[in-house]
Amino acid sequence: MSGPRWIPTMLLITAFQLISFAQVIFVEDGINYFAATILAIYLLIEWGWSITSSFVLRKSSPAIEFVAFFLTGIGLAVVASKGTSSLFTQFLAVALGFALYIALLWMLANVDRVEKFHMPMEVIAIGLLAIGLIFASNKNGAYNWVQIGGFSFQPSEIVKIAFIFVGAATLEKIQTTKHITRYAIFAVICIGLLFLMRDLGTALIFFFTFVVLGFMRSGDVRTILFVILAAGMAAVLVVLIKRNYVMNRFATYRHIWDTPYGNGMQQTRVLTYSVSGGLLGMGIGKGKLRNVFAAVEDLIFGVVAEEWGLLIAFIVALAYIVIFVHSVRNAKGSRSAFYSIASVAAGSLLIFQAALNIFGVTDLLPMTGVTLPFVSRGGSSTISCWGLLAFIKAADNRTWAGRKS
Amino acid sequence: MSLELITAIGRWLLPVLAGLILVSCGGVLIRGNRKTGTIGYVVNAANGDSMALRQFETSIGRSKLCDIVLNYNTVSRFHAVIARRGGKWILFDTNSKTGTYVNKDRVVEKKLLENGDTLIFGNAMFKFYEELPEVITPNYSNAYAKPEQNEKQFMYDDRRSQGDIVIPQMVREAGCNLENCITGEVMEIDDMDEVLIGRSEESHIRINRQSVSKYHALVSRNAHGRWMIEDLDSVAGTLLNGVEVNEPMPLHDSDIIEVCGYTIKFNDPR
Repeated sequence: MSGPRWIPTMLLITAFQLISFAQVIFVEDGINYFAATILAIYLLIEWGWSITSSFVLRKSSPAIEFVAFFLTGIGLAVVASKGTSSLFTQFLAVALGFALYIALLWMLANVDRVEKFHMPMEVIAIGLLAIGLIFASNKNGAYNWVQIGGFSFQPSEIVKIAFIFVGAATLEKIQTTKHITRYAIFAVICIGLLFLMRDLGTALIFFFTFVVLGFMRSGDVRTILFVILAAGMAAVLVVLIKRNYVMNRFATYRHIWDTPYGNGMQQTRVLTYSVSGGLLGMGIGKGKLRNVFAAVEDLIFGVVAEEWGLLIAFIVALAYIVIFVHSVRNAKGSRSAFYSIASVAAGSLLIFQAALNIFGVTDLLPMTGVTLPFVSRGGSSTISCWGLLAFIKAADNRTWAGRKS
Repeated sequence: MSLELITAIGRWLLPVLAGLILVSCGGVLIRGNRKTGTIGYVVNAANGDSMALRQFETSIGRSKLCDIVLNYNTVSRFHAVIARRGGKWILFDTNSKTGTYVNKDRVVEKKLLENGDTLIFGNAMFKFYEELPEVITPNYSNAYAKPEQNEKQFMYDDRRSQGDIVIPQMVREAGCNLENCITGEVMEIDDMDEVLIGRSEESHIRINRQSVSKYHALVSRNAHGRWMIEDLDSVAGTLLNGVEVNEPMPLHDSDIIEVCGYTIKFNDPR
């Protein structure tokens, strides 16, 4: 998809977003000019990046950005349909996330430069989590929200980027025991802090990413099995110590219909309303799930299924698979082991988080309260997803087609 | 346009557009990276085998996880990495025990590589090329070629070319033999009791270099018929698999004898 070949795809995305936003902009009591303005700026960013990337920076294949634009566009439309008050903050998060994406792409362009940021990233990651542990306020059972001025953010979301940054390494670094030990200690500190913050969903995502990174670094299945076994034993120990807390979190799993007006309310509503939406959906803004708690955050997949239809919900799920497969395919032949490891880890993290969300709200897995990447409302999450995407993009050799390799 | 019409258009068109977007992007994305072509070569000095470098980072070591596996005791599990960064080739030593050398210089952390550099990992010697020389496979028909001709044949700019070794017999049979690691010339030694290596004209293996002593080393059978190697008090010394020969040492199949940088392989197929 180099040169003008990306234009038809971008036109399709534009048409998709114009049609979806039309249902938000044209409302019964007139025209929602604010939503129209946000859409116009968002389209400008999309076209601006595609043109700059293709013609000025000579980076080919903006396809991965297109998938992210597509998912983010759905998220923005859903948030806009819920009300304009949160649309601005969500759009701001998208803009910040995209800026971070560009900054990370610049940083990742040079492997030697990446090495210099290794240590600062370690410090930032542990520092952010420590700040979270000390200053975070309790929200839905987890101490993962830090309030600064009028803004609040989740440190753990930003740490996802640092976690992969530190976990990936160039081949000459991977092979030294010193670095492996150092990374293992770093990972244990991060996951331990998350557990202390009671952010079990994110701790699970970090652990999964750690296993993927471990496998990518060592290529040794036995080591990974050993790590999983050790983690399993630690988990059993934790359950024994914090029995009540953990049991409460998972008590609803597979029993949502026992308490449809209690703990199982969210999942039962997701299942019933998703079905009522049918293949083509009720129409954006016309669903009922939006009135349930955390509709545009944790339950957004259900909102998409109900209002946009099961077909689009299915396509959204497929989009994560495409991102993941792309991240794995990139690994072979990338310019450095760093890119390969980071790409697979970022792709795995995104698909694992998407799976936790989708299977969580449909009661196929315990609900952990994680967001749906790129789509859910949530500033920190959106910024983090765009940051992670930079690792996948950097591993694609076509990104650096115009460079001396 | 009524709101119902907008909703109806959206309900029917959006899934179609979403599907087209995913197919369009997915087709490009799932193809992944283009295969990297060969971007460099390393040539094993022991047998002339050339290995294409197709990745931007190539690991070298004894571990099976390495891209180039060197099964020698003198090579660390993860010995070194050859990497291409910003259009340049860099050799990294990854804390190997015996060290990595580029043209005799020990690599401290990393070293920039030039075309034709000699790389030594433990007792394994390689040549690094960005472009493969025209002639690289062992050429048995040139057994009696003069050293100069051999030099040209291998296009080594290094004066310590392996072509300086003259091994006068050219029979390749299933017996014990000594093999010029670069040219592949083989000297059958089953019907001999000793093989003299040195600069003198009466040497069985003559290395016409000033640094090589006239009577440098001797490969001979002991009382039990076993092949041994001993250094004949040479000035520069003799190495067996990277270890200095201070007393007669037994030879095993695939052992590498090194005399002033020239490598000779002892083969014992039995």
